[in-house]
Amino acid sequence: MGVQKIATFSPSEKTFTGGGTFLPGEVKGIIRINPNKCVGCDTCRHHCPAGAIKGSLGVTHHIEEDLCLSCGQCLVNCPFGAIEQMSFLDEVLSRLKDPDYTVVAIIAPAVRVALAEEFGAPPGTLTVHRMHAAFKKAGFRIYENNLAADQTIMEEGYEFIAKVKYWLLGDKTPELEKFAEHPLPHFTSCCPAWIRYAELYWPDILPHISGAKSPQQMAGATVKTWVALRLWNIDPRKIYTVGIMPCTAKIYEASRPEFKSAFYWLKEKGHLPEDTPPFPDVDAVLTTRDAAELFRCLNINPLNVSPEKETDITEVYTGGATIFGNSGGVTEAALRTAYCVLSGQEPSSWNIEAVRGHTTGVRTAKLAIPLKPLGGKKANFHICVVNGVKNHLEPILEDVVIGKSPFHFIEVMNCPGGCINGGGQPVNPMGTSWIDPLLPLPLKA
Amino acid sequence: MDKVLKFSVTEKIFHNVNAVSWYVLAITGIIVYFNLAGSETKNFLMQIHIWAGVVFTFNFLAFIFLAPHRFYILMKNLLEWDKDTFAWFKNLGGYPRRFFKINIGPEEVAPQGKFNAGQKLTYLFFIFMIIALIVTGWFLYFAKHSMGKGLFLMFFYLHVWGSIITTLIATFGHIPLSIANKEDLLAMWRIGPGTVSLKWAKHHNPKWFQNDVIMRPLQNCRDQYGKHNCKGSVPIFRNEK
Amino acid sequence: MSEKLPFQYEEKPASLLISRRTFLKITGVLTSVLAIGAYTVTDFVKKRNKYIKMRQKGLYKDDLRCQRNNLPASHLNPTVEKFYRDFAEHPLSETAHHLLHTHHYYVRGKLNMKGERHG
Repeated sequence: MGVQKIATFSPSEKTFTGGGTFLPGEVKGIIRINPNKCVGCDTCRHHCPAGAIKGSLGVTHHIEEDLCLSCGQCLVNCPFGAIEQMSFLDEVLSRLKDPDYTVVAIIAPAVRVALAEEFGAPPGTLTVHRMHAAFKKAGFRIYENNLAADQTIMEEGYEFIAKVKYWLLGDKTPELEKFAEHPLPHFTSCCPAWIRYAELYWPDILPHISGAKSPQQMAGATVKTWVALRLWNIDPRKIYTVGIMPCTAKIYEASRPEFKSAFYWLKEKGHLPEDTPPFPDVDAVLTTRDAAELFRCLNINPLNVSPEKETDITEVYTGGATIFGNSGGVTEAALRTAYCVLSGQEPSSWNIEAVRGHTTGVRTAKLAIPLKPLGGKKANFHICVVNGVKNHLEPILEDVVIGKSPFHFIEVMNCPGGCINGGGQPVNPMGTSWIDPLLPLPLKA
Repeated sequence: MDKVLKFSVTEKIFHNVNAVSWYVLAITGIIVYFNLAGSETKNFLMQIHIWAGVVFTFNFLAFIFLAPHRFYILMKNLLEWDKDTFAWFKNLGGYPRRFFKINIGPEEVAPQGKFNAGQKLTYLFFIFMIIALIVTGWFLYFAKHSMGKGLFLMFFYLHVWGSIITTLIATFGHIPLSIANKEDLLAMWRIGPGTVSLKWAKHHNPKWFQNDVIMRPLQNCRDQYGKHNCKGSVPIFRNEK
Repeated sequence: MSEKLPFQYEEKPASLLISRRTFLKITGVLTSVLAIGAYTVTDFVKKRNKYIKMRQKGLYKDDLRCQRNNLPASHLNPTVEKFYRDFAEHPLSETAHHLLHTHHYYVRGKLNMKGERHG
């Protein structure tokens, strides 16, 4: 069956100028429509969660950069392959050739079930050790994004627990004071397209969103501090971090100006000379398609390399982290850890089917977790998993804004199905991201 | 002058509305697909295309549901193939000889029913394409984003190239041949009854005239109270040729 | 007396032209053509999200693999434990606050006045 070829283009000078809804330095115009290939079929406009695509039926469409989330759903769903993606592949290839730099791949969970598609395997073919070996063969060192996802769960999970303590259990101790500004329901912050969607269209929601960074940014900051100084003993300035992501919005996220925390931390602690120019936590992002293109450039087929026997300390990850790529995965991972922390015991089964999004637009669940501080008294948690911003999110946000939301924890994934169906993934030529009814009239199919 | 009713009113309405809306759809569609106009114009033409599509669809549905007996008679005429129908292909109805002086097959044309073999083939294709274009058209309008890229592309290219091929067949086959057969053309397009002369029917559609045509009952269908009552009137079957 | 109609001959009524047998034949042909088309379409539509489900299945397979290796939940990851033991002390600590948390969500509508508000 193969995959649909998606054209790429290199960033231009205009890319980083900012303006409009972009801050200076942020990458804009990641997704663009090739006017020569667009027939005006109007499919993309129906998939855009932000209403950023303009044009009517039969007329060549274009994307309003200022409204665009860079999520790439239009690209995934264009039947004609007329939508193109900005690629930083050339920059990464030149850094790989530079012996001064240690190039670190931060490999997202969803990449391991999709990379093989670019090399002829069916969708969902799992490559973990083969993929690691292929990246090492290409000259990368690996810091698993899944490991960073475990860090995310620790930070975000404890943040959620603190919010629960402050808002539900009435624990107003001084160290929890800062959560007074961050009421429940708690929104996840892993999806950069969702963050931008909230920033653009629902500013009232922003205090609800978790302050934990996304796994990619945690990985970048950790690699340039802890890993560089304590594990690998290399100069953080000579580390070039590359996010290998299923996502086009991650390209934009990595370029956000505030994500230079490793630089500021290192400078404060005196690890850097005074004249060092600021560097970002994540230097470049390649989509899964770009990574496949990189392997093709270097004549590596990840399906044919012999898998790694040993696992480095920076490659260890848990089941909770790897399901981040699925809709409902962040919630499930957070619940696994939260259950253990709150109840002080392990659940009977780690699989929480009730929150798995699959191809359901909105999953809601009520979970009873025994609380150790209350002597095992059970507390009900209302969980909501939004599987795709388009069509599903708005009613839930409206409830939150008017203060009537019944939920405590809301996971939002911009792309239907989760990251595994992200804008940077290999494009299946047959399918669609649309998980709602076939016709505007609810006709089941 | 003896006249034979060849096309009923329902058939005439269906055919003519279908033909007009077809060309509106074809012209607007071709301009939009091949990018022969600016964005504003294309946007406007697409609106016309969709509304003409509504007319096209409801015209076909109205024919099927309001005159199902006419549709079934049409389908019967198109689907019944006998020895003489196949024999038509030996000289292609004599048309190559008549128009282009190409001598193929025997001089005599095998006797045909209401439609000759070429018409049967073409009209079956037309009806198939009408249904296919209606289905694909509405799917492309309402379910383009939800049906999957593979199916979308199949529908899209069926809609575009199927309609272009059909339009070419209609423009360079159906229309010139209908102009050559003047009485049929007039029967179809005249404002009035869809009749052809007895001579024409006997010459072009001998089998139809012999098997499927009756003389109108000569008795008055009205009974002594002036009400319609055709039960008493016995259809008169024509047996002589 | 004959009615004034401009023709003397017409087709037999449908009841005579279409026998029960012919009716069934035509209905059969039409139904089979439509059924084959409808089957093909529903088959394609049913498979439209298949690739999403297959990829999700792949990740849940990886999850089960990790669970077999006694790594089901994030707090059990030895590298994470090491990270907090050696470096960040505990979740929500000072270091974690600097490196793993963000303090910047922008109200982007204020950055830009162009373009309509959505939703």
